[in-house]
Amino acid sequence: MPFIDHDQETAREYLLGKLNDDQQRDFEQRVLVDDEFAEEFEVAKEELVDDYLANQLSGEESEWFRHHFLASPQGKQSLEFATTLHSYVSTNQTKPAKRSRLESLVALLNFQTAPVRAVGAFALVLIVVGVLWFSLSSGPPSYATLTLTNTAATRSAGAATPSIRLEKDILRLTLMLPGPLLVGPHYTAEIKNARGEVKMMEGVSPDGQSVILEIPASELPSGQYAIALYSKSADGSSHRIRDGYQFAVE
Amino acid sequence: MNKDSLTEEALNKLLHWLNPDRDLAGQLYNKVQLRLTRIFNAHGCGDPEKLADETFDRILSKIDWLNENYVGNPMHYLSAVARNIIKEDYRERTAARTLPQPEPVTSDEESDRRYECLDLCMAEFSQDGRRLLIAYFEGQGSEKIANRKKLAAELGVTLRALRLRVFHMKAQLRSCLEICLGKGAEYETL
Repeated sequence: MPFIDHDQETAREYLLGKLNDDQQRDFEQRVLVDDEFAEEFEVAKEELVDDYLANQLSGEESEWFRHHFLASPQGKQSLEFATTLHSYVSTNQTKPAKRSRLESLVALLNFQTAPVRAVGAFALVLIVVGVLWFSLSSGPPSYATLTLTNTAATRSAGAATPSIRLEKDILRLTLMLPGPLLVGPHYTAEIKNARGEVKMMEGVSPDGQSVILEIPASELPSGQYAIALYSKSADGSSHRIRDGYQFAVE
Repeated sequence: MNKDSLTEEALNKLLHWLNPDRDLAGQLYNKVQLRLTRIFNAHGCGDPEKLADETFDRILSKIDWLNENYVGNPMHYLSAVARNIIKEDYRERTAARTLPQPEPVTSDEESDRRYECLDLCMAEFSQDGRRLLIAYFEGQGSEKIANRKKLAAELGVTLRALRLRVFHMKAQLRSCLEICLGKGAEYETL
């Protein structure tokens, strides 16, 4: 039987438990007799694993897939492999060059008709005036930056706790991860001060090697701080990154 | 199939039922065994290979009747038996509340080792091959789909051909990774 595009969708539906009993039986018969279809079945499994890792499945689909294919010996191996591959790919992907603000504005003005171009130019003047007024009245927030290595590394090297004097609006912390991690880009940080008070904060890893946190300086009085970092997996579970991070505000 | 209790006569009958040509029947048997395992995997069965054996055991128990009376494609009968086994296995697992759970992926150390091995295995591809694999996974949602269409157009192939090419590259990579990790088991794509 020749392969048709619909087969790809059918294989996904089968793996996500969306076919009724008769449809499942028909599907299985075809897997047994049709080489091309059997191959599509395997491709669909791997693509669903990719989608699962990328959070592209609905909650219900993820749940089904996790308790069926991913719970099988083949599924566990596939997930393990895909996790490693995704980590490799995200580390080695080239980030697309972003348009500068000026390029975006020029593109915005690249209209086809004169009246629209005139309206666009007027809008641009308004935007420039608005931006100038906003800059003069409030000014952009200022950032202090600090890069922290995992305490496993600093402990063995006997390094002192890094400290910073905060004279800016926001502290941008870069937490270096202990090696390439097989998890997604989202993290939760638990920031604890010397009095044991805890603040939770979301962080993002732009490159798979570090996590960025931005903390308002007003929330960081002088003192010592310890950070525990948790990665968030595609299935919603979290996994603590070993050891942690320390810093002090002068 | 429990090979210890399998007599040569029974095996001959089973192969004959699958296909009168013994060589073709042997190939078909191996292929079906693997595909049944893959079907049982899709349903989260804990021991898919054992269930594939069980499917053939049930066929064997009726092999004389099948050879004399069954008319039609043996695969249809086989898939019906497999379907019953899937349902029975699911009932047993839910009754015993032993629905399998995916295990935590790996420890940090093992993850590092896997990554290092994958890095070595990727080096076995040409630069174009590595670039293709990395580009294939770029983007999310509709952006990813558009990216893949563009990639297929650049290579002058259909989207399905591109998917299959990446699938086979991944199989090759996976096989290399297993060898690098000392597991040695080759990933079959049959």
